[in-house]
Amino acid sequence: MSFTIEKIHCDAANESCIKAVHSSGLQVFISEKPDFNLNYAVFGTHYGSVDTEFALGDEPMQTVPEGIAHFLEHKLFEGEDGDAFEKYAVTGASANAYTSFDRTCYLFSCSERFYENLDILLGFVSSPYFTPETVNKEQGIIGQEIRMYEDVPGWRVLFNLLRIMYHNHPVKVEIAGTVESIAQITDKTLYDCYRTFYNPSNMFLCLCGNFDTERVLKTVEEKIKPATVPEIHRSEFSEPCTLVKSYCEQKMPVAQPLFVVGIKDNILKLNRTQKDIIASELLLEVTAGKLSPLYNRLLNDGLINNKFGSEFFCGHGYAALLFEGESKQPETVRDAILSEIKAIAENGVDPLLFEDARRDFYGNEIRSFNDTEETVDGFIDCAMNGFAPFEAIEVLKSITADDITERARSLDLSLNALSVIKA
Amino acid sequence: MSYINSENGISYSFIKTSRFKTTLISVGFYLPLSHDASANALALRLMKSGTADLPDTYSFNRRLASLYGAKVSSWVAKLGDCQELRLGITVNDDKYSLNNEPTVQNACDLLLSMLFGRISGETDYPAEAVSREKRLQCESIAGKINDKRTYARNRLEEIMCENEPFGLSAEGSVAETETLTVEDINRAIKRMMKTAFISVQVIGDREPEDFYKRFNDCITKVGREFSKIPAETVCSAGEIKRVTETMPVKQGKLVLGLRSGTAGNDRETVAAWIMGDIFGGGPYSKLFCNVREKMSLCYYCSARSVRKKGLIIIDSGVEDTNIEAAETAILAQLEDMKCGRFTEKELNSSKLAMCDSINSVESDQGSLMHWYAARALEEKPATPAEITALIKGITAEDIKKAAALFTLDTVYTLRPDGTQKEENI
Repeated sequence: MSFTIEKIHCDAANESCIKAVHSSGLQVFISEKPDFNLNYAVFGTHYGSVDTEFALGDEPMQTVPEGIAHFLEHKLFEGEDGDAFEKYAVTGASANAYTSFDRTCYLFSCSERFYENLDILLGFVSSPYFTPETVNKEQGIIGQEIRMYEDVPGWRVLFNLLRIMYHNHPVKVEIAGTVESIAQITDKTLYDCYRTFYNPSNMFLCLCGNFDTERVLKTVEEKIKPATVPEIHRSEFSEPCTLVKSYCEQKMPVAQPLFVVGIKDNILKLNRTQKDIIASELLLEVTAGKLSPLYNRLLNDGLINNKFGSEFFCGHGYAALLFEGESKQPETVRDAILSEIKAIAENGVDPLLFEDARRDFYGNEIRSFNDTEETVDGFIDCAMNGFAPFEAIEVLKSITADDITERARSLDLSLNALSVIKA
Repeated sequence: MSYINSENGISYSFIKTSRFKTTLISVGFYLPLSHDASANALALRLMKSGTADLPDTYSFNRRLASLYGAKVSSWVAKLGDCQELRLGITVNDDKYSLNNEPTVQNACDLLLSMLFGRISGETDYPAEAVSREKRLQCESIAGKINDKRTYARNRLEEIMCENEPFGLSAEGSVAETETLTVEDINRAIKRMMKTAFISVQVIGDREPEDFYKRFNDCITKVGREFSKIPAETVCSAGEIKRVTETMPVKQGKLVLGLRSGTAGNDRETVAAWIMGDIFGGGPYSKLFCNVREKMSLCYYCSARSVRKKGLIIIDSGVEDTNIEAAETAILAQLEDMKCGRFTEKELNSSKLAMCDSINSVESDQGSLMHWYAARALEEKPATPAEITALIKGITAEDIKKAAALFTLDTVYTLRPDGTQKEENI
């Protein structure tokens, strides 16, 4: 078979996996779990809502309507030979798909008839079928989905923040686009996007469960045809290192204000290593995670509640540290977070706190292999970012408190913005 | 799996398996839903927030981190007319620690301290913790308005079951929570420990005897006065209740409540469950295929069975102009079910999907725990394999009979009040 195969083992987690690269360029990550009765598979592409400007090979750069990646995800379920859900209805699998800023993933889980389900998955994602009529019908359904998200305050507060943090980068636009932007989508633009991004060299297949690796690879070999595909050129967004503005608010029916604080990170650094990401997440934890003195102080002072959390938000040409929650005094919470990061940058991280945070992360990383879905999600991150499987565990063994202090020092705290939703 | 059902209202499900890297221990308390719900929920929150030795959230959270990020989970939910209060811990097994530390033993100790550390009443929760958790509970209850889909479903349950315990909120109310005192909390803890039905699950690669013995010793010292859980109130549909409310939203919500008037035996319950699934379960269901896909009336439109109460609740997100058309379309699909206008293919799709999903329960620690938690009040909880065997035996005639029992009882509509404007940020 035309695969380059690498077997990878991790002693700490007592886990193994296979990374196979098909001659088409498709990356395949496989974890066999012989004592499980649950299989989970994701066939995805490195293509999300931010990919609105691109060129294939020598072709000129083209701009497509916002929300088209998500629209394409919906439409791909409908094939010339019927709906993919109808095919899964015959096998009993549970199927779904999602589109995020940087990826589109098609998935199923099942306990039986795994190989049939894999055939269905590889089959329908590889067989686009768009007509003006089916495109038109989908505009109505997606329009309703967009309206539904307009009523979700947790969603609104994030996108409002992105709109004041980013001048040009399409990360500021809703993943599903707008009713106006999706009205511009045609069967031709869908085919253009499909042809560009749904080629195996830009795709990945990640699987975990009770199956035979050889048979999976044989199925891939039969279904995926190698093709010479020109390189994809993604737009290099001219995003300034400034904010549009530092505060915004919107009125919605909520019990108390919702907020997100964002600190815009270095956008010139397009790709981040596993260590960059873990250092950023550890910084979030020691700043305002549940283990931090600040979190507990804010909780006891009545300034946050159990909804408070943080995230390192990053992708091609965008990155930010986000802190979100509910508070009657969002500005006070923002100021406390900024002071804490400043103190860490100046004085270094408390070594005992760092050790507890590192141990917490290490335990979570090991635990993620309990779950087929989490295992596969880890593989997707590997495929998207070029990380090695189990790399996170190794990074967590070697990362130091100084790495976190350095990460705090790398931030420009003046690039902070606050988005609030209040009644 | 081994199952122990003791005389004094405590059951234990022990599942010994090496499939997972963690051990999960979970203890559920089941009490009749009443106006004590707020106090019970607050007591559980306080148990979750620390122990007598680690009384503040900071030291408690640090302790969990040192146990390789052990996760304490708690939830308050309704199981029919009961309030379910659950506290548990999931911890990585010893062999996954960096220095072969006894993580599981340490986590057991911590859970027992959380559960029993204050039972003597000698060490009350600190006033600061009580006031913090009261605030958090009030904010959690008030914050339910933020998620309009769940809010609309909860309103339907309140309106439809206003004269039944099920109509109460599992977490109680803001007004009740605000008045609670330390004495109320101590009484709630005693109520949970002494009178509640208790269901314990231990799932992992460890002999459960040690935890069983220690838990049993602690609970025996409490002096159990278990009172049997009252039978469920299962009502038939009366005159249709209609309630419409408005809010500054862009999309409406339409929620319909159906009653069968019977909770049924195992076979009838499973038939009703499949009926609800063909009607509004997966993407093969009538509501999805017709109301959403063919008629494009809603972005989501699905049905959920409330097994112990003989209810089906249908919820949908609908444009304001489509609300009446959506209700007509949903009820037309119900009529089709009642008249047996569903195909063998639809029935098989539903049975296959349900069996496939149930077959995978044993491959996920959380799903296993939820499976037995949902069946905690049954004499001997059915295993996943027993339920799939029942599903396979259900016929089209069983489904038709089950559908015939369901009648529309309540319609709740949340409509835009027209004030929500497009905003330029």
